[in-house]
Amino acid sequence: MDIRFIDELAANGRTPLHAALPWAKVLASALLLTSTIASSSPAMAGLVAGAVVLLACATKQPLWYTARIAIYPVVFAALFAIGSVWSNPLYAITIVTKAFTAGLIAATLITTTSFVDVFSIISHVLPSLVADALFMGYRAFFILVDELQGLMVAVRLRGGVSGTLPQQLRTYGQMLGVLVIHSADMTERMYRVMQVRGYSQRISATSEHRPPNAMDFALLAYSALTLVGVFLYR
Amino acid sequence: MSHLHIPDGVLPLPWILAGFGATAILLLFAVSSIRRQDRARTVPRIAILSAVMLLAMSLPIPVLHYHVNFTVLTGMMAGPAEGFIAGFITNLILALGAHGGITVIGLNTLITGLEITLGWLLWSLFGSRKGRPFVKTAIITIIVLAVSTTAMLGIVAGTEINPSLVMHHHHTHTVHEEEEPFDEADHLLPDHDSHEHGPDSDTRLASFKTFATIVYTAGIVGWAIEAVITGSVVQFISESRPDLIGMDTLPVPGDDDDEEEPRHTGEA
Repeated sequence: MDIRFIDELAANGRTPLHAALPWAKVLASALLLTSTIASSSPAMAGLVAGAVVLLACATKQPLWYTARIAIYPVVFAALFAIGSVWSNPLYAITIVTKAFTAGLIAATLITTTSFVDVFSIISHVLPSLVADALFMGYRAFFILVDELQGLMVAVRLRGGVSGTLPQQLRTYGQMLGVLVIHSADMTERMYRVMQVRGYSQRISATSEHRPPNAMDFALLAYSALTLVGVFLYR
Repeated sequence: MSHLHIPDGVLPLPWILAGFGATAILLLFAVSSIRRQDRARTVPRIAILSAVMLLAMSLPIPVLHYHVNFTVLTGMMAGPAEGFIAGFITNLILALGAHGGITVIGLNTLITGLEITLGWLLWSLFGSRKGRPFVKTAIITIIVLAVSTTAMLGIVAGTEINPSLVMHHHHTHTVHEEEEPFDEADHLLPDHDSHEHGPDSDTRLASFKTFATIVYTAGIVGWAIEAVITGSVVQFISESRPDLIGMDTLPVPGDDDDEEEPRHTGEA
């Protein structure tokens, strides 16, 4: 999962879905996810999948971006389905289809809505300590990724990637050890920064958004109709 | 493989709700247990640990495309309370990126929390014993991952998410299925109220055995990889910053030649 790639898509996209309000997209995703979970046959699962694919296409960014992210859960769904391929192939197809759909819903949401916007919605139901750590952890991830990339270049230049597999794994472990130690130092720096900036037990994550418009309501209506359709079909 | 990669739509609703409920209770308990600590120190520590775990889980190792978890390391460094919160944050971000189902966040966090807590416990008990940190950590990692993988399989078995051949109780008495209309909506999912035995339960068992075989086979390779990597990390840390894993380079009391020796402080 390339979080940097996802973050770039969400931050730099200029599609109609990018312009929609974060809470509308989160709610629509929840409705579509419920539709997916409630699907109990290949036909139903396929219809919901089609509805989500249509929505993903409406983002006007290449579908393969989001489909690539959605393939990952399909691999593991196949593991569950593999034991029933011969005994109950319809169940296997349903499971795999639902996994792809759920993955595509998450991928569409997260490639059109920045993680920070999603976190700010989720933080309303989390303890403040957890919410603060969520925001800081996300930021720290990008700092660590940059540091890790620098370390990997340095190790390669010094010939550290050669040798047997156990030697490579050991080198990999030592490299991560350096990263962990640097992250511990980062913790101390973060503490000092928070002290200087007057951390008052809560990181404010609210931002002003425009009132909902036709696009937001259309998105919610589309998702709600999909859910209603699933329950009617049942 | 111990991290639940169950996609959405597979687990029954009671299990999903139970997972979220148990996670919420443990999360509140963890937050409550560390509320007296300086938050400006606690929050960055939890954030960094979750970022490290997130980074580790995002880096596929070429062998089996496996990724390490670093849950044992997190337990050793942070203890069960902060580690559980970090594990929850990591699973939340992963789920949003389609790495594991969103509805499985609760159960995933419980499995991750089990690894973190067990890692902390075993390191507290055996970290001060003689022996190289690499070896001790590798053994602890294998034990922890074996336990958590078994717990994950226990969840899978308990939810009976493998398909049953109980299409409909009428079908068990028919020879030709085309004689009755096939209602997909009613018949595809496992009949959790069914108590029928015989061929249907045998099929479920066979499906589960297949899945368990795959998981343990792939898991053993993954455990070995994670044991080597985590052991290397801990060995490196013990030689550079032993305080991070609860070890200390204090002089041994009563030693006249002031020789410093790593001493386990019992604190994470």
